[in-house]
Amino acid sequence: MSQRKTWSELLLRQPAGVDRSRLRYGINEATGWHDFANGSHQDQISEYLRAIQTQIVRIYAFDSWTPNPVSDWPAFTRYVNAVLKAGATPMITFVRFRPPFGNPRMIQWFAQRCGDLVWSCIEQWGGHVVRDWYWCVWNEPNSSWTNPGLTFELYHQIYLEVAHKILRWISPYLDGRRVLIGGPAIDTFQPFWMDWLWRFVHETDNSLIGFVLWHQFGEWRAPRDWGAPQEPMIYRRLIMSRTRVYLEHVTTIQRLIAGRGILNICGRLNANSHHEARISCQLNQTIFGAVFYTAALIHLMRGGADGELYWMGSGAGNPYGLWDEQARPTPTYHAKRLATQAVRYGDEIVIDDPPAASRDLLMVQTRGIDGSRSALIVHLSDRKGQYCLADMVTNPRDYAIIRKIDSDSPTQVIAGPCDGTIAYNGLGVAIATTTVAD
Amino acid sequence: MIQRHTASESTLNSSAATKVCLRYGVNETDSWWHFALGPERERIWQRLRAMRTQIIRIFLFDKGAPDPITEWKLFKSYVDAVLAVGAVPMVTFAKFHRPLNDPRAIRWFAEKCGEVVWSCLDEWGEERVREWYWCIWNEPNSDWIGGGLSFEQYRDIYERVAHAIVRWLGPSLGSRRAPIGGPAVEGFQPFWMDWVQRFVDELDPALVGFVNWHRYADWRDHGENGAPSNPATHEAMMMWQTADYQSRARSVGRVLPETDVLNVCGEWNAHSHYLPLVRARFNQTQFGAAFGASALLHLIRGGVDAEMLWTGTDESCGYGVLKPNSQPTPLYYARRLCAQYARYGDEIALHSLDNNANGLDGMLIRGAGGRCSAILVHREPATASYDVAELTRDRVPDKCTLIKTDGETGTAVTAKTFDGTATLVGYGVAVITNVVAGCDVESEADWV
Repeated sequence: MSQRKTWSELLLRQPAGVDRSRLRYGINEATGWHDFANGSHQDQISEYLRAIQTQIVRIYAFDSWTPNPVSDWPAFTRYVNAVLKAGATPMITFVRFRPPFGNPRMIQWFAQRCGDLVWSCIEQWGGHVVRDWYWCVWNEPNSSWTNPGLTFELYHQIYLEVAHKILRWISPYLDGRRVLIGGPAIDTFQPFWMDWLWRFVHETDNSLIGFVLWHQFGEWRAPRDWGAPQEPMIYRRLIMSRTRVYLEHVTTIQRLIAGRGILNICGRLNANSHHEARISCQLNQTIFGAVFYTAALIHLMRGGADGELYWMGSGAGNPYGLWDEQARPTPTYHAKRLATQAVRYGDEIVIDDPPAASRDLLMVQTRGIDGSRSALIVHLSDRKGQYCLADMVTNPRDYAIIRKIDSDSPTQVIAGPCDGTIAYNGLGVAIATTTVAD
Repeated sequence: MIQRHTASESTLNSSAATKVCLRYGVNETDSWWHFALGPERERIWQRLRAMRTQIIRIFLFDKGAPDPITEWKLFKSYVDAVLAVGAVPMVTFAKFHRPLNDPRAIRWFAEKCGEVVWSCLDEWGEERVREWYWCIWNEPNSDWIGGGLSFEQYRDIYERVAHAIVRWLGPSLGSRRAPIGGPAVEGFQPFWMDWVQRFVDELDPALVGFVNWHRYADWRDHGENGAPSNPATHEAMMMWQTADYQSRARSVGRVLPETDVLNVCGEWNAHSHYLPLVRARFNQTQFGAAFGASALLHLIRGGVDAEMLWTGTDESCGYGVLKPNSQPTPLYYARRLCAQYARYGDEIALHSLDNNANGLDGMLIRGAGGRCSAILVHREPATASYDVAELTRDRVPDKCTLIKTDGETGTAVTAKTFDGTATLVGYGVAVITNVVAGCDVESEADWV
């Protein structure tokens, strides 16, 4: 066997640049909605969401596992109120109707239902609140698993019908704002997924698109299934190498929507979307998942994404959540908290190639509007590593505090004064800041 | 053997290549007989030379290629044709048809490949043969083409074959890297990049000289399998995706070690439909010409070391740029323009031209002897006129010639004195240059 390249060597080597982070942080609240909206830990969850600067929470209507706004409006209200309580904006996803998709009466009925929901929201929360909400039409229409037989043409027809119904009710409140309707919430594991986005953007009146939404996970297969490697180290290394795909997708989509005023949002992301906890839990809810997600965030920032919605917030026993049904945070939660402390919406960011001696790192430096500076530094190697801050950041002596999680301490953030070095015991996420406040 | 540019020269560590490091090439496969032995072979070779063809990928053990064991003379003529063009062969040991997991079958295949190398050394001498490339298998990740191997199976075969090649070739290489590569990965398959990653990570670096990847924009006809049924939409969508060549080139380049392992796009064209008539509509028309020229510019931007169009000579296969009688397709002229005016080692003065419309792709190139050329690829079916001074920020010299192929020229190029404006009628490619290549000076009649 030849010498292997480290994860970091695979991920790094990219051009440097200075920009402002446009990334709005968010999450999906789906199958765990009950814990999120009604559970005994809902206040704790709300605090968590604030702590990770959550600006958008994607919720779901007209699906089997979330409250039906038609038949159970009080439950749906609690679902939405939980979003508002966290200080976030809802992205309400009108998930689907059952096939056949081409029945014009069904399309009309669905659009009417969506319009009614918008009207009800305006009634409940007021037009001047609801006008800032996001409305996503359908979920993964290109997936033959969940939407067999749904073509782009049919999706487009549904989208237009729904968009017009939304506009009918919300237009009076917009005051010149762009309506935040979007789609197609595309599954990027499907072949020719880009076709859907291209046609969506080119064949729809610009005024009817506020955002494009796309989903990207690191993997969907279990080791050895469908050509995936059997050997755990190779399997994990390949997944980690795919964080770069976030940058590639964002960049491609930016090219597609350039000059159109459309937001570019990664609507679902995580390391592994496999439905079995025994497969995906160890990838999503561990220090591996924490590092994968933070690396993906850096790539999304670098590509100029407007939003990211982690899959998902409240886990309710599933292998995706940032916390479990007892509201115990995962390493990924702690990593997101560190990332959002370091990089806030609107911060000036510099994402630079690391020095040659630090190829195990992926890093973003930021300067906030208050002048405070931070560096978010992801350690991509499962080996131990110690790095000199002076080799990585400008004015290293200004940094006062280092906070980190790593393989030794995946669920406990370790904070300490900055002595000019950062040490990791395996995979890890750290921030160095010039301000002491958490 | 060609040398890979250092990281600072290519795109490994920078946002864009500063020099053209692309070598031009073609595949000569299904219609190999016309290329090697056909009555118009010498005109075919002449035209391949005019496209500055430096590498020709040939196939063994598939595609109806002559068996080098039983049909050595035919195989020799196949290789001699490559050499007559002035190119080097990339010999592809495409596949075997025995059980993939049978160690005896793998050993038999490896020995067979080794014998081909030994025979080539014997026939053409080590001075020549050490410059050749050896590609192991073709599209192993595709059930249709390569048999749908697992990576582990492929890795075993690769190592066996590579050792068999090195056994004979090694003594002549000296300190050179063995010019052996793979996995010639099919780019439509999900997780195709895993193959590249694992190929680089898990094989002995001493056995890897290049990484070969394939990319077509589409394989579906209008309306087929979710493709747009409106031809204009389908074409526009495909054309938009030429940038994918750049992004894939960078993805591959990024995982290559910082040595002289080459980044090779070993097969590409606009369309790979299973019916020749369908794919010909995309590949062998003005659309295909513009698509191909734009793809080449993106491969240059992406820092690719070599490209091999699928294919050169073509008898009713729907891919090639030359018919058996040597008659060119529009893509032939588009390729020739790119190859003549964006040569290996040239400086990329402008990576793209100042134009807000998606309809134009372009590049400004500076070469030896003060040659300065703007390459314009018009990627829309409508007619458009471009103010070239504006597009190039006044960097095109005085007294230039406009050479173009488009809907007006038909399957040909025309050359005229440049008057400041380039008008392209439909899909097309234009070059504005102060040094006209010989093939563009000579009379059209000689070339059409």
